[in-house]
Amino acid sequence: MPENPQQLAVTRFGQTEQIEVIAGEVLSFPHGLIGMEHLWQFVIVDDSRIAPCRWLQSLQVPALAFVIADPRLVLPEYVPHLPEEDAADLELEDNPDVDVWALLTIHPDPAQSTANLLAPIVVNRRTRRGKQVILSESRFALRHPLPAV
Amino acid sequence: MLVLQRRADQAIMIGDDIEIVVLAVSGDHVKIGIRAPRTLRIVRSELLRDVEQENQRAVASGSIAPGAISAALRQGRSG
Repeated sequence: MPENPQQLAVTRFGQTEQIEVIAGEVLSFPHGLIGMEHLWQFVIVDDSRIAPCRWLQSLQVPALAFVIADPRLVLPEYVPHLPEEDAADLELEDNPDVDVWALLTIHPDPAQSTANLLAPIVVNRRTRRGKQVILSESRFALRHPLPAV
Repeated sequence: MLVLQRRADQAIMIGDDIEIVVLAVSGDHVKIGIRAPRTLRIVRSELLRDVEQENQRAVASGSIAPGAISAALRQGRSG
């Protein structure tokens, strides 16, 4: 059955824009994000204006989107070891097919912008189930500086 | 809040499958062991609070034109 994209009015740089959301691309976050348990559905949206970053767009709150990036662009040697309970929760035991994203905190002064490498977004590609995981025993920083421009 | 007094090597059960053991006490430091199902997230409270706060700060990122950031990351990728 073909999936008809749904239109969603989102906020980009303070302006309203329309994006298309395809049902099969929706990611479910049963626990929400940490401290934001009501945000349980997202889509990842490409946008050439911010590439190689992407948007992690909330479906519950269309005005809310995070800026995310491949954490290895920030720290090439980044290899997160997921806590066992999180790997089980995401059903990753037999299937290490995951996407890992860092949430970025963008500051008007780019030198102060940071990436959250301590609590990345982990998505099971097969089930499209996602979770924000705290790598509590790792050395990774909550506010890792971004490469200098 | 339930308050219990325990000494080193004494423990508390929560339900059937969570056990909190006081391993050692030294001054204002307490070393605690936890036996719990692997499905439970166990994390220091202040760490959870820090992540919550950082998520709140990250929300505002979308209203700031992140052109300089993406330029930096592109550079990082090619170099």
